[in-house]
Amino acid sequence: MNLSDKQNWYKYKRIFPSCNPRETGVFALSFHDKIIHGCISNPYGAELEVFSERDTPIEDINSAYEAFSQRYNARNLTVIRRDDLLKTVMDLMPPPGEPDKSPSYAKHLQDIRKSLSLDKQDKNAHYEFRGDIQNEHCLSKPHFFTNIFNSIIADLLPEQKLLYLGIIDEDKQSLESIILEFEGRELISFSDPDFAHFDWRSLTQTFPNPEAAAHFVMWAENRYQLPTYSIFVSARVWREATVYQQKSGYRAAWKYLMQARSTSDLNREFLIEPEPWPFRAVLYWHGSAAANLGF
Amino acid sequence: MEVGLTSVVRYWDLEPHEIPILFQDLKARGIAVVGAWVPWADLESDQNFRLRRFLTQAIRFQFKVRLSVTPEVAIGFPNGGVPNDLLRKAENIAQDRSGQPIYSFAPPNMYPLVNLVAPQVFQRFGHFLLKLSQEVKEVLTEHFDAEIDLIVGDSFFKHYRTLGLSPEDHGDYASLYFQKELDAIRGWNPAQSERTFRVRAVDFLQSRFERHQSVNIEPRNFCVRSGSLERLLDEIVGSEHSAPDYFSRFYHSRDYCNAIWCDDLSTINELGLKFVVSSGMMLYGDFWLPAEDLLRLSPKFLSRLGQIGDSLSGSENYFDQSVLCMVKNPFSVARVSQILREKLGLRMSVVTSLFDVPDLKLERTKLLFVEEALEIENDQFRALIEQTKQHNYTLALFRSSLCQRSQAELPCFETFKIKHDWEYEVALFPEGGQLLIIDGHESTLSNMEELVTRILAVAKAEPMLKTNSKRVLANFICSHLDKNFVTGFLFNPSDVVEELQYTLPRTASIRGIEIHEEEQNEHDRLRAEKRVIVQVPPYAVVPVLLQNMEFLNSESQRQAKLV
Repeated sequence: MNLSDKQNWYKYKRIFPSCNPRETGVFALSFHDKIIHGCISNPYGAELEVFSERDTPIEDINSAYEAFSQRYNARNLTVIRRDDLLKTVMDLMPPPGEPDKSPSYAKHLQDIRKSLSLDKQDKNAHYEFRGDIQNEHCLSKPHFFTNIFNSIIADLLPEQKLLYLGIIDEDKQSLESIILEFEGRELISFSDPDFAHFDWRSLTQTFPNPEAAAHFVMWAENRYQLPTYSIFVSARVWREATVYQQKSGYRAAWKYLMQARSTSDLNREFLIEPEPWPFRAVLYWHGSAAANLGF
Repeated sequence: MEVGLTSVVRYWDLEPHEIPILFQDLKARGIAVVGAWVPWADLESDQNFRLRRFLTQAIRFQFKVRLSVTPEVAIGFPNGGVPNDLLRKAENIAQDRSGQPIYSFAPPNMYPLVNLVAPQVFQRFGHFLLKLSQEVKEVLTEHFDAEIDLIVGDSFFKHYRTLGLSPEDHGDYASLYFQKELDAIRGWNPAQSERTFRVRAVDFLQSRFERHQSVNIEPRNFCVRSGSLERLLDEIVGSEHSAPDYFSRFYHSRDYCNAIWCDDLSTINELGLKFVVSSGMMLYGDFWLPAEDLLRLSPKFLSRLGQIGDSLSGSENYFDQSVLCMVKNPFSVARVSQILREKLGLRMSVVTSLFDVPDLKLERTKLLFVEEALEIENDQFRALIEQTKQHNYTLALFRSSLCQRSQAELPCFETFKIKHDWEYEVALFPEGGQLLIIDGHESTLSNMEELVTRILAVAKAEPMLKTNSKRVLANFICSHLDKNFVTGFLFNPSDVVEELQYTLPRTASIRGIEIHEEEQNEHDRLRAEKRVIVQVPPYAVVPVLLQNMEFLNSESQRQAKLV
């Protein structure tokens, strides 16, 4: 079964909201030395500003930066030429008539960021930049969980694998679930599980016990023909972990999640199934100081 | 006109057991209308009868169902619902004037837009409509009392444009039509393709459902967030689209759109969401939003919005635009239409044909302005004159050689000429046929503005109050307080509110504005007898203020924020 058949982007965004940047930055698209569109990246909790400089001439980026930094309290200004952005996109898109090999929207966005070198300034960057901090501080970060296999230890796990995430709200008796498909370290696709011939109600009534989780993993491996790992987490812990990432960063979110795991015997708020040692090591690695080296 | 919220359900993403749960939640909030985009590709391969099941369940819950049957970007289905195999053929891909394919970057994927009028696409769309009508009829055989609206939107054509290109380079040119010679022969233009596509779709559906009273076919042009490069930049950066951004888009699109579709409001907080919904309702009266976002609104707010909607439905209301401007390309209107737009603001709406103007709207129209009227044929011209007499509105034809040609046939008929770079001709038919005769004379550009003013005066369609005086404005608001008011949004209300303190009647509750007497301390309590503080919540405003936003300078508009 093809995972990309049941991609619900809005659900993905709801479960994995991107993390706001630390600083305010202005990003503008220019065409014939004129701004045709712009947006402002806002830190968590900051009041949202409206970019209103459309059709403003931008011959000199230094003066533009000075003006914008005062008006929007921005720490940097990035100007991308429309043609450069369009060319980057065209290079990444398959020519008309050929199927798209990476149908995930999130992956496309990441690829475009990489091609433009937006995250890290280098000589090949396709944009002009002025500011007193690096661009990466003004860009939103992906949700911490989507980088789960981005470590050396994860290389010990199978190359292609699935990760099921079930978020259970016992108060509302609801289950929000998503299956992520990874190739090596990268998230390449996601899908709604269809629970065909599987009694999904057993997962919602109470927090699942290890036997129920193992039963589910067996079903998923048979259904999708790929090694599957599953994580069940309570809605409260998931919300808190996401807020931790917003406020204190990536490592803090993982640390919080691992703390929740250690108390899960009592609270039944976090469950991993199966739990081979490399997978356990992957989870703990993200909360450790070593994770800083990777990000 | 029926005013209300439409809760959009992405039924193809939901498991069968999830739909009744969602409907129960919506019903509990007093929602009466559910809608859905019908993805073309999904219906073609719908072996599980998802659409039929969705319709049946909605009818069982006694919802009115609105199905949008034309493709649109950002509906949550890959390729905007267009079948993948159509996009694999280069001749089916839409192109702009520079010959580049036009891409949509709106989630859930990036893809080149299909040209809806390419022969293969057009034919295949006909098959889709056939299957759709079969599905709907199947449902109607069991539930003959069901209320179903089939919405034929033409908003997809808005996306035929790459950001940065001028409106004249607005696309929709498949390689077949890209040849300039062919353009010239066929007189191909975006408005024409819109008309062809929409008229045929509506004709087809009307013929299929002519015996079903409960099925309405309605045209709509949705105000949708662009899927072009601006959306891509927002998504790459991860910038959040704020409530004032939405408002600004609603405000500026109102002259050529008549409904709103917001695909994702999840990043907006509850207060912002209230503002977006109420201001959208106020401007358009027809707001489509995902069911999950609608469920974030409190029942109290929804019931209040429902009450206002009920009071506005049917009778003459703010959503009516008394001036219709018929143009070739809604994105690149001629100079006279531009001046009209500047003068009238929200009172003018742009149409590409009279086809999508309901009779009710025509009855309330005061002026119909036809741009580039030289392209209309004699029988169309006569039909227009006939319609003018019937509905008693003023008709103004711009650049019409027919007017001159018809002089011999229509007695007492003269044209009004002004001279700019080339000769303009304007013919006016005020109030159903009594001809206005103005001697031809030469003029300069400034006279064009005078001409527009003259046209508006003849049509009795002058713009509403415009003033720089806050006092005049406050008086104006008060004089309208007994009419229907809708919740909405106000830029920097404090300026006007200060004036309102002295003008407003001391009423405890006036719809749309909440008045509180300030009693914080002894000193204030004494002053309260004389002083009334008017607090305008972010979702409460008088619509007429929108007409007067011009009085706020650009600096205060820049600082526009939720109050």
